[in-house]
Amino acid sequence: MLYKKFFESLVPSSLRSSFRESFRIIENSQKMAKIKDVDHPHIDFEKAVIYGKLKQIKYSKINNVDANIPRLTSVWCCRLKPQQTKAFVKFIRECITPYEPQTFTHIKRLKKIGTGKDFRLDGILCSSSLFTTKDQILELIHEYSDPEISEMTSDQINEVKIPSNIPTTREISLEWSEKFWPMSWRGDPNAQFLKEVKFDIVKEKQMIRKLLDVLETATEEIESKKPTLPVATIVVNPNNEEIVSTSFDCRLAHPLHHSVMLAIEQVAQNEKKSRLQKSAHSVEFDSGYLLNGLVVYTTHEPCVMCSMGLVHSRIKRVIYLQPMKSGGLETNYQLGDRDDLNWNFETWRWLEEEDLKKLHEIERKYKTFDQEVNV
Amino acid sequence: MSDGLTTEFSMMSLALYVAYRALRNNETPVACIMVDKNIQKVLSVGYNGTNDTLNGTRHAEFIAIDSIFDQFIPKEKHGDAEYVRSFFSNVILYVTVEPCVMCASALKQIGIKRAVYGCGNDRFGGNGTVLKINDDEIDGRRGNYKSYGGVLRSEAVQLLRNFYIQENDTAPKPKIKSNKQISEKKYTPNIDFFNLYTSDEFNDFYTCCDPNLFHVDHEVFYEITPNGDSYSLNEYISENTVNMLPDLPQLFGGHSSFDVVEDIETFCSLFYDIKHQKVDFSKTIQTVEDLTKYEKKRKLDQD
Repeated sequence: MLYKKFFESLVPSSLRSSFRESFRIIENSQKMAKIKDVDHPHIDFEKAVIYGKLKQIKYSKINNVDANIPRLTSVWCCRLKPQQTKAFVKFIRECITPYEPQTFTHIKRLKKIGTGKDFRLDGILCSSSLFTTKDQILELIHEYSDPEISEMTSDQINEVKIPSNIPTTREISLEWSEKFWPMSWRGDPNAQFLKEVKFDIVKEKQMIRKLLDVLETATEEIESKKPTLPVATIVVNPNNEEIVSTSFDCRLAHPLHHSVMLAIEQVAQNEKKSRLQKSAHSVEFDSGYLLNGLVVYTTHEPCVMCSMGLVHSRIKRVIYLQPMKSGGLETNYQLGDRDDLNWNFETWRWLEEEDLKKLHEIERKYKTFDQEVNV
Repeated sequence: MSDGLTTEFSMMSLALYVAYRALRNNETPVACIMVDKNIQKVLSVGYNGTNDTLNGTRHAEFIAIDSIFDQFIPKEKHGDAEYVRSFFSNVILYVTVEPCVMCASALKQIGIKRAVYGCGNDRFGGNGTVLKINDDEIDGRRGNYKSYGGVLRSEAVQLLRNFYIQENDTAPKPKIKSNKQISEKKYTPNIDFFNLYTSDEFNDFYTCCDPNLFHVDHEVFYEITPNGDSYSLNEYISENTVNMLPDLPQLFGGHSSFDVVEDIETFCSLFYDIKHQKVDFSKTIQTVEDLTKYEKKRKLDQD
């Protein structure tokens, strides 16, 4: 599926006929899109709420960003002959995509230049934030094994500006395609995201329950073992639903030992241990990088420090229940969803009344807890 | 301040030296020191430990903060927010790179007095480059602190360049092999003093520098200088000041024998001088790669 998506983003519609294989893939993915386009009764597109329980937190929505004004970003592109495109696609997949901080699924990777037999293609190599100078990208190119790529010269490479956002209508998308770079338009992008995001809502509910249960149990401990504040975080590997860490607020021991920071520390320590064991048995590393791909469930909206800690840890998604005055995900800055930071993750707030009620009951056991605190 | 920025430069050169030791120990060369402002004593040092710990939040500032908790704050006071704040209200942070958003928030929460930094951090700077966490409205401005950048900033950048030519195999990023022109490359623009400070604030801290030099649209990038318009790093660091650093043996990877004088000389050889508030490229500098090659050769010769 990833491969299909990747290919689709690479090939402009005008060129599809010349790529037999990619043509088939694109046709299939278009059919799939149509099947998905039936009713989505569980999504409130206007409020960005799924199943009435999960509210998506978006920077653009909170800050009223106009999606129909292009936000331009610099990329490196190269001039190619049609026969070089296969090698180009392979080069991008192997050497660029794994490291690329920006996504290019909203544009075509290749743009046709000229008509007739001698047409050329401009292909987007990478964002200018990946390689800041032409020399750096050239060095990578020259080291590549395929001469179709490695023999590229400096004059074939240029820096161009493309929109980093997607407009809400097809008309504006076409206008930008003319003006800047061919865009892929598959409908309002966030609506598309809400349709495609996968939640097993029963399991999500169970996880929230689990989070509240572990917090409740912990707060019933004797005074010296209790969490300092009634805040808990669990980290889950979404692939096998395994809970990889459980942590509580512990600022009595250290004012910065908030539950999210401790969760990050626990995951790191586990990883370090498992790497040591693996290397003892001389097995190849197949380990995680930071919290990449993991999902964080936490009772309260994390403070700015913890929110940015999640950005540094490259998590996949966070779900929390109670928004906080000094929170960094929704109330302030929306740190999980900013264009000016080098990592984004999905941010969701759990809305279900009965779970919030339960959380507030637990909170009431703590006289000093209030909405103003950094958690 | 009668000595201009001399004290600030001396302190920052120690932070830079710690960053250099981090580089020699194969860590990211971003480091800080925390200083008691009343007695000018270095309380703790920290350098980036994200590679070693596999924890993306182990930034230099956190290491230095934790070290202060271990050494200077009684265990029973760790949870006493007011005690902690009053302790850190006498502490100044000197860090080679602008604190990130996470660290900026942490520094606010413990109530740091002030932060002085070298170069800006355009990927996630929290003291003005991306966000201004140290001076925002959250929490009723509680914990907001003053922050001054640009002190030894070209040196901080130069040290980072030394790092990027080494391979960092724990992070998923492209292998950029050694860049031969590294020592001749132009520096990135200085921080945006004009938007960060009012002219009074600027004059207050950067006493003897002309604010008009620092317009961001200038073609030439000027550097902050301590007093007068030129300096060499070796004027601000010596065996005596380096010996002020706590845990010095640890910065040498736990070795008991090390030659500080020789090491400071090597350290200073990595940087250009500043002349007329600009980087003077005429001096030949070393890179850490050169040093490693030299050491390997010396080891071979000895064997």
